[in-house]
Amino acid sequence: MSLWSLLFDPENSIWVYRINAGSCNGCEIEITPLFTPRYDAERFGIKWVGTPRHADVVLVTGPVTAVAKESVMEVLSQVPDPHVVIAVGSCGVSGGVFRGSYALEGPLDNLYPVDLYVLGCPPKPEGILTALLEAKKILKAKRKGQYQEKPLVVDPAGMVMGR
Amino acid sequence: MKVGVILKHIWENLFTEPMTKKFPKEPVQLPEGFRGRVGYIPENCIMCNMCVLNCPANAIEIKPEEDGKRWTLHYDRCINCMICVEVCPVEALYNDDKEPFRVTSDRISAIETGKVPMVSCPICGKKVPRPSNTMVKRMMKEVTPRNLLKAAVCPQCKKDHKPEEIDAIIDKILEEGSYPDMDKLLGKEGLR
Repeated sequence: MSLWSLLFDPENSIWVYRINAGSCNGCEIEITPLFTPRYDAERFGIKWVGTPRHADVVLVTGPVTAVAKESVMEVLSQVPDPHVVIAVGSCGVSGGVFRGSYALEGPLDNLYPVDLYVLGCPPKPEGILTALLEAKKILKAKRKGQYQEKPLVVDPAGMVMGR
Repeated sequence: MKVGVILKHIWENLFTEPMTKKFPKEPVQLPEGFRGRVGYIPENCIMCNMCVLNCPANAIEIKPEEDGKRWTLHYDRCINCMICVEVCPVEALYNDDKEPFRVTSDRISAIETGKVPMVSCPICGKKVPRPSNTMVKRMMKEVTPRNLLKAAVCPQCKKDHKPEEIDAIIDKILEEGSYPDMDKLLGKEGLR
């Protein structure tokens, strides 16, 4: 990494915003230690911000419930481009144990394009840190216009609700 | 006195390592009993459906294929509860903590899968599922090609033939090497 990119590339300091879309708080408990001395994501320039208008990366936890859907979509619409959306935990990725419930508006990728998935229930903080470091590369590619957005694949099994 | 204690701590902290985990450079330290991913050994599986029925997230499915059945675990739905490992009667599933987390950009292909093939009965040639290594070990103490062939005899042939006759036929097959599905019966990596 050259000194120029270290000093002036905006990817070296990504700002993270977190949305709870009906999560059980398990994933939040795993996200919080990222910014404590034990895991210390700030050594990679990752900072937690309090408003979506400042964010480069959005972490979404929880299956998007019917109540939370409107707020989640409004918050995501306020994030400036280019941004990376990361779905955290089994619920955020596919609905998890709540898949098929009447109170869900489907997992997040039915509503909004998701760039990265962190699997696990809940995922380890190391997993979320890996996703954030991966998000740096995606942001760089998006700023240069080289990022190829994958077509949204909806799991045919995911649409069949219940057993 | 208090100043002395504080100074001692400051002096110590000058020479101790920081408590931050150097994660991307060093591997993850896992606690004992950590529930990672679910590993699958198709050679032990008897396709009893217990894991499918007990999975709280409906993450496991068994689908019939041509020439066998396929077991699939979808990691995007799995909640790592290890109930499937507990209920598995033949030790076909195990807790594999070598991959403590997974980050992907394609959740559909995050699966663990395996296939139990159909083999032919050594006597009549009818197709039966491949016998499980664990069941053969429990019934005949040892997993050998002879015992696997014995376990692959279909129920009708077991009724029609006496045990001595079956032994004689299997001896003949092993001498001639004329059994068509020997590769499938021994499994991909041979006998474990």
